Amino acid sequence: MKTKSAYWITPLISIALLSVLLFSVACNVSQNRDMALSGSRDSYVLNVYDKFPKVPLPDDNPLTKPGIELGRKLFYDPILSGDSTQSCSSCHMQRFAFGDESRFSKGMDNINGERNSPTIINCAWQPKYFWDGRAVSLEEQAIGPVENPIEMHASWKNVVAKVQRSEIYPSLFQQAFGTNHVTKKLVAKAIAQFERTLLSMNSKYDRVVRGEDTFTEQELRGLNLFFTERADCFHCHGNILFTDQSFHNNGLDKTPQDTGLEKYTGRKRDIGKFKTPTLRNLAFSAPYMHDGRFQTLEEVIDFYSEGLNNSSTIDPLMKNVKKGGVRLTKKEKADLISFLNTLNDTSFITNPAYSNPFENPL
Amino acid sequence: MNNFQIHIMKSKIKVSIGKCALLMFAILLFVGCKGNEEKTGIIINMAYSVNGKELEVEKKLYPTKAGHTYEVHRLKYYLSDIALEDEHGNSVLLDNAHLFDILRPSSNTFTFGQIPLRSYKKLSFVFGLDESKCKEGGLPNTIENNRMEWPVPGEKGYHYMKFEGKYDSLNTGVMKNFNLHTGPTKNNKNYVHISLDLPKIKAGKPQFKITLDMDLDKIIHGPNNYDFAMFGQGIMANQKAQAILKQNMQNVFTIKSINR
Repeated sequence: MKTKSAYWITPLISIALLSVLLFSVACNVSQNRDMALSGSRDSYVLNVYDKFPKVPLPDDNPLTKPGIELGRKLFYDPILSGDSTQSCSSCHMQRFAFGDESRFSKGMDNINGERNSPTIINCAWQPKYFWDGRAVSLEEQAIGPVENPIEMHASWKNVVAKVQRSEIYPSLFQQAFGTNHVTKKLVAKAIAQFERTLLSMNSKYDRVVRGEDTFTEQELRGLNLFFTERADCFHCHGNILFTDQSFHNNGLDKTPQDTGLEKYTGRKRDIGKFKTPTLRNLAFSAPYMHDGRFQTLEEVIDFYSEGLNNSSTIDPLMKNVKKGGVRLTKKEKADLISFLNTLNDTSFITNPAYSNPFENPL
Repeated sequence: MNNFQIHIMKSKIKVSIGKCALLMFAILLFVGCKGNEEKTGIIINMAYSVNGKELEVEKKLYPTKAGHTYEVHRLKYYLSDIALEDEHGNSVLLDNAHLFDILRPSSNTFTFGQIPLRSYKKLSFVFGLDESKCKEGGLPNTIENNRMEWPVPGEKGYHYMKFEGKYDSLNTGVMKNFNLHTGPTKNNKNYVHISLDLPKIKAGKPQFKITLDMDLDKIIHGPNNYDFAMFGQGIMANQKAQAILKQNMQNVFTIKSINR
């Protein structure tokens, strides 16, 4: 025999369950609709492991497979230079972690640039580009070198016309952007898409973080130096990206000839400040500093240990400048270099997906 | 167990389900009623001063009682568990953790969404991060939080504060750098609970704005005199320096103004 309350409670529970079911279905419908609006079969997802922050992607340039493949071709194609001899990859070579082994890269007219080519590693997270941060997006950065007289020495008008006339590109633009009409903006967008895929996260350090490997005793000693104020590397080169992505005068010169960030901002307090580079893949990216003045890691460590120069704009983080640096012992220096070498990622410089598509089509 | 006992048990289960459903209904009704309480926007604004005058970054040398003068270059810090307490003692959590940065104005004026339109008597927060947040991965994995990492092996978490600048050592013209980086060290947590009284006024509509003032002079002097020269420039592992700053942080924040 049912109690009175049981008679009306049963329908009540049914209504409640039905409501939950309807709510759940409604949510799923909404999610599916959002996916349909934002995704496509050509969309591309950057796979990063959980220590890396979410990749900031611009709303107006989502990653797509055709866009990345187009960008890869444009990155390696000398068609972007005035006489069609110079490509992005002329100064940003995969085997050098997309930097250049030369202290100053030579441009189209065989003239040296004024700074060492920066590496392109995990650039998807960077908020500013060039050593002085004058570009605030990869799309903006990609536009700069084409008309730089020392670099590609071309005009965008001519470059766009050449790309438009080519046999391969209009159809690739059609696939990537839904139009075969080539523009400067779309060229930059495609190159930016390719550059965002240049991820390095398979070094020994990464493997240890993921629990797949272990450090040696020496590497551990180096890690302890790196991540404490003894060597004090981490304040500028900390976190999983190994750069704070900020600008500092690290004491290279008493009177910097290249004033760095000041050239862009015009502020005297920015004299001698340059963007902090990542320390990933150091073994492949010599020479070091914005002007490539140091050929070896040993020279770099000696500089931070004993060679700092004071100036009015030296960064407050260079707290041992009065002593010339952090004064590491010979053993400490060796330990530190041992740890730094755990940041090298051979798979990054050999990844076929990042290589020249005209030589290694996938 | 015979059929009669099974029947009784089934009836009891049905009655129990009924009671649960009634309870859920009551809770939903209560939540629904609470949801109807009038709400208003809340804005917290942080202003910066030194001895009552507006802070000038990288422009002005400020005196210390230890005989130095100092200039401020950068200051970033976390306030966490930011909450308002109403006149009945109910707490309204505004944010789990917020990163302030004197060089990033958007970080210093921000809204926390909607709060009940009540009279509030206290604003409380933690300077720094408690154990639940100050650990590896304790905060959302953002670039800004990652830049605040406190990566010291065995003490992983986040800096509570990065206060950086330069000081003229005993006014000799010799400029040295200082880094007042606070956080957990040597099993000392070093975060600080702070509670500021509000004048028990009812929040207004459409926005209730509270402006706080952070007096940087109090970091150096209130109540302990912090001597840059005595503690050197790197204090992350120096608990004596951390303890002085922890005590001083109690007096750094005041309510500057309230706009209903």
